[in-house]
Amino acid sequence: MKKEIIDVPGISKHLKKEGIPLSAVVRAGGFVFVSGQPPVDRRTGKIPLVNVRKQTQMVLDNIKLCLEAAGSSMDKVVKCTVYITNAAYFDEVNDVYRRYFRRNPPARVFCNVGSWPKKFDVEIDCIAVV
Amino acid sequence: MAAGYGWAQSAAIRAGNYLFVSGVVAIDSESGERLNGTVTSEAHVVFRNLKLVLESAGTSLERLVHVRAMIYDRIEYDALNRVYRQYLPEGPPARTVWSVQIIDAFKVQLDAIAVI
Repeated sequence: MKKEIIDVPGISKHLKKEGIPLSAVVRAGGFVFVSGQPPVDRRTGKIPLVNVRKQTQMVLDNIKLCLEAAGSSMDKVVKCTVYITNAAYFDEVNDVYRRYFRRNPPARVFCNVGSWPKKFDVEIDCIAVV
Repeated sequence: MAAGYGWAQSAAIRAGNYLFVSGVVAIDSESGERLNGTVTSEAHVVFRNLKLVLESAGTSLERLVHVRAMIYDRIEYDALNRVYRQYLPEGPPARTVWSVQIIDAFKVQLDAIAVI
């Protein structure tokens, strides 16, 4: 089966520049695999210090862009994994999350994890159909 | 490889054109002995074991599409990446890294999906 690396405008170039060994999106056999998206500002490639609601919004906007670059979309996501550094953020993340998945939301796992090497609190990855 | 580490799991499951691999940790693939060490030393063993599992199922590291990488501490992110690049130099899979306490005090665990 063919494995395709998808170039995502505004995201792939920052990854390449920083030498991070991952592809933002891989498409293979009718499925799209999206790397965990941190709340990166696509213009600068930096992660701004903003609250959890704003971070969640940025993460999901990046996910949306990744999916669309691969010919998929938010309504074709079958599974999301949400990683947060503090379980107390559950409600704030959900408030934003449900705006992006209004009907038939995907299967989901919500994990409380240790922090990343940079200052942010939310990351989400997903699998979608094309 | 010591199938599923003697735990209630299979090393990998093939379904259609996909291979779903159990979390891979640093054990000796022959004896099943734990090879706890540094992130760097464990990551090398993990990649060798992952390669073995993938190749046993008729696929390869180059055919990975999705990896979830767990490390015991965020401070080792760069150490993981250095080893990671050696095994996946071109067209790396989608990946998420997070820090978490891993079973048996291992420092790295990779959870992967590949295409055949």
